[in-house]
Amino acid sequence: MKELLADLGFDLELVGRACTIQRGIGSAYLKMASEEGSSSRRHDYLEFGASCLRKAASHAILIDDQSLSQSLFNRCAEAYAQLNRPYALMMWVLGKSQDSAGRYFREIWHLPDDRERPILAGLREQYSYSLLFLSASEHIGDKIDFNEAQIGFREPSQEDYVRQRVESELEAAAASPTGLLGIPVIHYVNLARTLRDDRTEGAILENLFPFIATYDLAVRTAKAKSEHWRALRLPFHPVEPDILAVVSLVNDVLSSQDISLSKLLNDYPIASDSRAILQAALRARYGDSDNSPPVFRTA
Amino acid sequence: MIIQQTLKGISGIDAAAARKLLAEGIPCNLVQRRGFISFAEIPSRLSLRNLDWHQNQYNTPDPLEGNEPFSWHTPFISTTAGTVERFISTSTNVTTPAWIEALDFATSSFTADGYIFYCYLWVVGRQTVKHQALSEELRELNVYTGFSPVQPEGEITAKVIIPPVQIERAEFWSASDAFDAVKNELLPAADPVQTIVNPLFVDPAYYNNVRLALA
Repeated sequence: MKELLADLGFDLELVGRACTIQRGIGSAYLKMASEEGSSSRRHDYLEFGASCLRKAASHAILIDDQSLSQSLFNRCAEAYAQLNRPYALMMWVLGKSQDSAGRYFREIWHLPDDRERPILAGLREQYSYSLLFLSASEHIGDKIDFNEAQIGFREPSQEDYVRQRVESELEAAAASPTGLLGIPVIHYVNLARTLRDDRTEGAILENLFPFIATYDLAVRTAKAKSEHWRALRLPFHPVEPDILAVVSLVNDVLSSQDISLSKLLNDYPIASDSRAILQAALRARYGDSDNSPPVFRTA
Repeated sequence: MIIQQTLKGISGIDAAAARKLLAEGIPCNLVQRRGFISFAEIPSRLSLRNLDWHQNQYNTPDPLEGNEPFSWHTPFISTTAGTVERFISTSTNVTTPAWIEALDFATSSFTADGYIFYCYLWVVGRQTVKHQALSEELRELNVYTGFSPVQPEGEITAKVIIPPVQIERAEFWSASDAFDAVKNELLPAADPVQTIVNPLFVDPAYYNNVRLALA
């Protein structure tokens, strides 16, 4: 990733410093949260601290410090889990902590006491992440074991029942924006269904495309604000974790079939910068096992 | 009207310069460069167009100023009061404290020493761009509805000059000390010994509407 920084307009030293600053402030706020008596203030500290660590973890990807990045994403996930946000699953995916993600998933994936009550009341869009995580995990040898006497599961068939309820409730909010880039909920549902029911390369590429296209548009738009882009002062991050988590889940499914997502990204009609960042992030995360040549900025 | 506490970070100044700002007020760049501007010129400078450029095109060459950077001619003064930002990824609202934003400016991202000035500005919950005495709440989306990528900086914009009477104190921040703190995962802190209290400041509590009984 480092070799791309100059082409993308970033200064390695500035990114490294920004990473240290966000890590330090985020960690300090999470510590303050753990010592805070007021629940409201504790909530505020957790949100801000996690937000800083999310940025720091993303910066760490840019400077090729994968170990630091994963550790920060995992701490971030713990904070979001404390806030009861299934987004924690995506952070654990980026932290490569499948076990922690699985444990948390089992805690949140259950029926309400009142079977008539909507499962997702209040935090509907958040369950887009849970659904996607479940579908991706089933195909990479990490099938969630619902027979572990976890909350609410007395028989395996309940899993499908909950899934159907969740899908149905998410479909009712199909156009609701999800994540920093505001990708409609329906695209998460469609991708989750594809990863579960139709793992063909074509179907996966088709349903991943809305995420990649939105990311591409965001990169192009953000770069136009060159001063803020270079100073990393935009809410959108060059290696946007919302997108990288989805791409990582898809890559996990495809690589279990010996298919390289990095190579498939060449087929998308997106800007060379967007493609280069995603491919570099995948290489940094998974190594060069697919032997695909690095794609550098050409325009 | 609300008397809003705001913070203004200025990097690369020493104690003498900080004392001068406390004594004479914090000027906009236009006043700082020229020394003064005439009363007659102020109304044309205080425009929505200039406010938008101040927020979103600060260093862009301005065709109305012979293609010099807009920032050289701005009649506005940025301060921050922190902000609450919608974070859709987690369905939460994230509160960014004002001091963290101000610290970034005061130390040029932890690379230069500087000061954070604690100010009190008057805001009225609507756009008042032509009124020099009132400040603009650019952070407030219900007032300034246009999208700006830098809205989370929590900006409250003063005009022409922030008078000494509205500046409470200046806190010194060492960039190296602040950076050492965050490296150790601690919150940085100003050195209280080097904080300069402004004798010209009048506590805004004096203006509140509580009238005490005669004693």
